[in-house]
Amino acid sequence: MKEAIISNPLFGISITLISYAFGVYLNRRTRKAIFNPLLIAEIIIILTILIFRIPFSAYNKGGAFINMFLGPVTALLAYSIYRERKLVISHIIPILAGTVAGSVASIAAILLLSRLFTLDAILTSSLLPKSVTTPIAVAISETLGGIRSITVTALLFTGVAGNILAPFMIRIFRVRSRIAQGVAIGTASHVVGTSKALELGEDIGAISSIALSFSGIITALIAMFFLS
Amino acid sequence: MGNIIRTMRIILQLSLLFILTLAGEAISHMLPFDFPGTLIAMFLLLLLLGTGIVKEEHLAESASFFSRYMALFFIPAGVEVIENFEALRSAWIAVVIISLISLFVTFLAAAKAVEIAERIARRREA
Repeated sequence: MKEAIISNPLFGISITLISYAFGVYLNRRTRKAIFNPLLIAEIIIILTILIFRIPFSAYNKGGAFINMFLGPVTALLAYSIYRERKLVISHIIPILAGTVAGSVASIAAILLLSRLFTLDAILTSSLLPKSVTTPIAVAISETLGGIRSITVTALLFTGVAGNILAPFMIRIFRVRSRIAQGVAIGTASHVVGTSKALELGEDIGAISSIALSFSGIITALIAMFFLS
Repeated sequence: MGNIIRTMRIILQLSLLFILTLAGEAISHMLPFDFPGTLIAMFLLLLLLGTGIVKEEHLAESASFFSRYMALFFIPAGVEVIENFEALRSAWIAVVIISLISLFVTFLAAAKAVEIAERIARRREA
């Protein structure tokens, strides 16, 4: 019977949908960054398939179907940039300065630290795009020969840490400008951090979501010209 | 009747996004260098919006759905990590430390670059 259930793609699809719905519910009830819906869904699914000894390939029959939507989701980032075009145009120089500096700093820090910890090339490539938004990070990681699931794991960790630590970093680095706060949050901790930026103020959230698209594009360009 | 039109709109929006994604992949394949096809699809959509061929409201329904529940579509890529437990077993502490330090470094660099750019702009105005 187990065979009949897990060999159907609907198994992977339904377990993903249900775990995610539960994650969204828990997040809304607690309003805590640590109860990130994506993180909760991952943990539930991983535990389920480990406990019931379900091979990943069986889960992924449905998983691959959901994964297919990553492309359209990335394309839609254009929609949010376009919708905020007035904000983008009026602050284009600071936004560009911040996202370029942040992306370069992120890549340099990861390259340096990976060498320090003697990580192999595959692991280093998997970590490199971990500050940018998931769909772009996955694409860059695959282009560089990294393992996308490690990229997603490091990226989730970074996002949740960024979400929780953003107010602390604003304080210790004495970041007064609201534009700088938004750009820094979006560049360093993508969408998960941006949800905290939205709590700090709608203007900071809008800038943060622009910054995360920009830093994704810039990181992809750097990866293309200097790393591959 | 209204519902049928709405459903049709969503189907058309999804088709547009799928076709753009396919076009992005095709262009990426033809390029002499490695650049993600999904990002090319994004630029194509930006171009369509900028030229007014596609209007903002043409994508309203799917944009609000996908941006609200974006994380759902990343779940399978993350679950795949169970295939790589071996690679992470000896390296996970390094991965955590690198992620944390680079978070601080990135945040600091981005914030200060914006503040410097703003200061220069203000001085020029003065």
